[in-house]
Amino acid sequence: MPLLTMKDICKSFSGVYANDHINLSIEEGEIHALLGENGAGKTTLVNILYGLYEADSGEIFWNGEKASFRSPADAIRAGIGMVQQHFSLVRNMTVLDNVILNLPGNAAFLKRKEAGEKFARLAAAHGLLVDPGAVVADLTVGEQQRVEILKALYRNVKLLILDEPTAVLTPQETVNLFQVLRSLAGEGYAIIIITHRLSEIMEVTDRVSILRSGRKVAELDTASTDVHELSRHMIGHDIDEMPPPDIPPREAPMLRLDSVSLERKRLAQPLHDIRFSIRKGEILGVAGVEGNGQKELAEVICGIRRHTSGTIFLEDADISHLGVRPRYEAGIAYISDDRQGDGLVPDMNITENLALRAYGKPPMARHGLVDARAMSKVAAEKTQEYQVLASGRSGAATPVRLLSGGNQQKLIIARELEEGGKLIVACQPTRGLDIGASEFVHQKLRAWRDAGKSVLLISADLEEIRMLSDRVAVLFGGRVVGVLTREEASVQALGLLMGGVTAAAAEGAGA
Amino acid sequence: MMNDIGLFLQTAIIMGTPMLYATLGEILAERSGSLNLGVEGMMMTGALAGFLVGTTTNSPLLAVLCAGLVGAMGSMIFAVLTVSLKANQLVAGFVLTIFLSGLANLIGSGYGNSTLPKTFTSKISAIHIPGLSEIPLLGPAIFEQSILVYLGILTAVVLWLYMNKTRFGLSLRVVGENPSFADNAGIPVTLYKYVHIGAGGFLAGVGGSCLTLLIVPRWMESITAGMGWISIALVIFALWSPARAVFGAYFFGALRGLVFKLQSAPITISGKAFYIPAQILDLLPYLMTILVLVLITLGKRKENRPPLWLCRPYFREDR
Repeated sequence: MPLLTMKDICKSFSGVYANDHINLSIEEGEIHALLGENGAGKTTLVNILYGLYEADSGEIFWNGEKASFRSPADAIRAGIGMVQQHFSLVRNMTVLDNVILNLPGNAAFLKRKEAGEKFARLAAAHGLLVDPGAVVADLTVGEQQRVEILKALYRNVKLLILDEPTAVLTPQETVNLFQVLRSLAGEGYAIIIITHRLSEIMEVTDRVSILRSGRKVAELDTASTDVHELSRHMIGHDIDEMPPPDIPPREAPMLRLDSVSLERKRLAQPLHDIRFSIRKGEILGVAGVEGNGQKELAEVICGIRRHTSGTIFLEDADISHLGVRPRYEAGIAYISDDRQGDGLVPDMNITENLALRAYGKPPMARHGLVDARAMSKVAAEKTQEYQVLASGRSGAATPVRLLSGGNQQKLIIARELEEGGKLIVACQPTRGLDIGASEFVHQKLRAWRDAGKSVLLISADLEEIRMLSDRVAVLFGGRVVGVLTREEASVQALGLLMGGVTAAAAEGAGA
Repeated sequence: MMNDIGLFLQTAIIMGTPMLYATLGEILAERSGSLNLGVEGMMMTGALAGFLVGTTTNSPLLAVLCAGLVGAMGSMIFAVLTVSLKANQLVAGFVLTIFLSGLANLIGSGYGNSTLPKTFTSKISAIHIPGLSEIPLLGPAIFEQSILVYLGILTAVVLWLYMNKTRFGLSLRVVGENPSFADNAGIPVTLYKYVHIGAGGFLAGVGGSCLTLLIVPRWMESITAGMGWISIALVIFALWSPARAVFGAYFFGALRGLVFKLQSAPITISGKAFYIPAQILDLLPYLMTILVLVLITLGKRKENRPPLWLCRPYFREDR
């Protein structure tokens, strides 16, 4: 008898099916993956299981008995724990207070000492070491995840749901997490892991259910499948091999930085003496370990930060003293790496977010007044062209915070890639996106380049950099430590430069 | 001189007591994520209800209890509007103050000349603890006070224990910090909000009744005179902690006492008498509040900030 059976689960958001007759069953000791692109309905499904959403129809059987979880409290009581993608930890409370929060067995007066001892035993038994007295805000992301898992274990769950658990982890932390999950499965815990990373599924799971557009399209034994089959089910077709760039860049430079520096007090990462140029019809990749000046460089070029010395030229015109809007009007667009922070206004709707750049000019404005109808028309065209899917509700009036990451990114791109644009500064443009959405972003960037325009592609993903870039600059400690051609830019060569080992230093060490 | 200061401290604590109740109540509401600007109005209705029940029943217990219940009823208007109907908290609270103040003034307009029975005042007036109250300076302030003053301190202690040592207090903090986390943990968010907004209203009502039963002690129009607003500011001053609220309320009570003192007794500098305009003295509490706000904002300590979800409505399926 399976521990959990979900039968014919349906859930729609104003007419759009997020879950369309989904069946799922999990045994004890099984690690089961829910695979699917952003917006495929994975999170909706587990939210129904966890009592956060109410299914429109369908049944849930827990331990063979029909169950209905109306709230997370019901689910927890039955023995279901969930570690959400964005952790549910109160940042300015201690680890222990977060763990013992609202336990059914709590006495009116909390017994923190006893609870601390139980927590420590549990942590040690599962290799999940965290200091119970630490304040959550001081913990690393990996430690916070451990707290979330311990919180569930502390409540004696039998089924643990993890929503995109590795999205925020370093490779080493991921290895640790998988060890923990395997040992938990060995003890009889059932685990559901939501992911869109194929390699992780192959590494850690027993079975895979694949969702696409709200439907379950396949359920496979991990042992008898491979990444190709998984991806075929997930996106509905094979991943296209990217064609190599066939149009060589022109000679004329689009953007030139001449000895640009950003040196101010209390700056996390200053920039020193940056010199490079991007030609027309070229994608220049910027590689580097994060925090070495990427964000600062992007903001200096877009005019968000004013550099302290040096000159920036756009097509031979000095734009050093222009602000953000004049630079945008001169043709510099910006895809921010922080979608919710400075790329979009999360609480504003799709139409408004699409109008953020150009609301002051025709067609969106007439005689200095914003034309709402024109704005809606532009929004309708762009959401169509860029296939932005608002999950139900109110179409273009949906607040963008309710969109999936991929759809949010499409919105930013739809807004920034304007007809008159010349250069786009793309900062981590595919971070957190699934394969389909990443592919879409890459296509758009290539099309932009092939139209004779330029791209500054800042990315922590070396594969992405190597796949798209005509040349690659490497940032280290706020300096450009090397600019490599496509042919020179092997992973090894980039890796050395990203670690601060310049060609000269390497030769010096060799000699 | 010593005697003067002793009396001044005694007055400061009495004057601070209505604000202490109201501040403690507002701390509860704000900890659940609800900024209820209706405090002034709830104090007004509490003041009137306490007075009316006091004059008719001659029972301090019933008077204070009814004052609290009337305050709690007022706060339920706010709770329904903001928690269930997701209305804007600032607007709802402001409207509540206007409504309840007007209502209290209307109903109370005929009672301006009534007085409490002598037997009532004697039941509620200062308890004179022999020996201890003779201690110079602090004696009268600490050991010669009304039961209402002692109850106020007791309430603060109980609330401190409640918030820091009990499971309910822990849950309350999370509701105010992030209701969706609370929901995930199985805490009944809506219930917590209703209960703590209601408790806040109860305490505001009790605070109001201190004015008509103990301090003034009779009904007059707009009797609270801005004490409700200062109590809201005091919550920030107290950094959302019941313990600090005690000191904050008494400090502001002292400022109020000082206003009376300086109005009646001029400051004498080299033979010349100066009267400080009452308006400037009345500014003091507000100036202090602004100063404290600035200091808090400059400080970076994490616990010194409002509950994260203060003033935001919570929809479960909308995140």
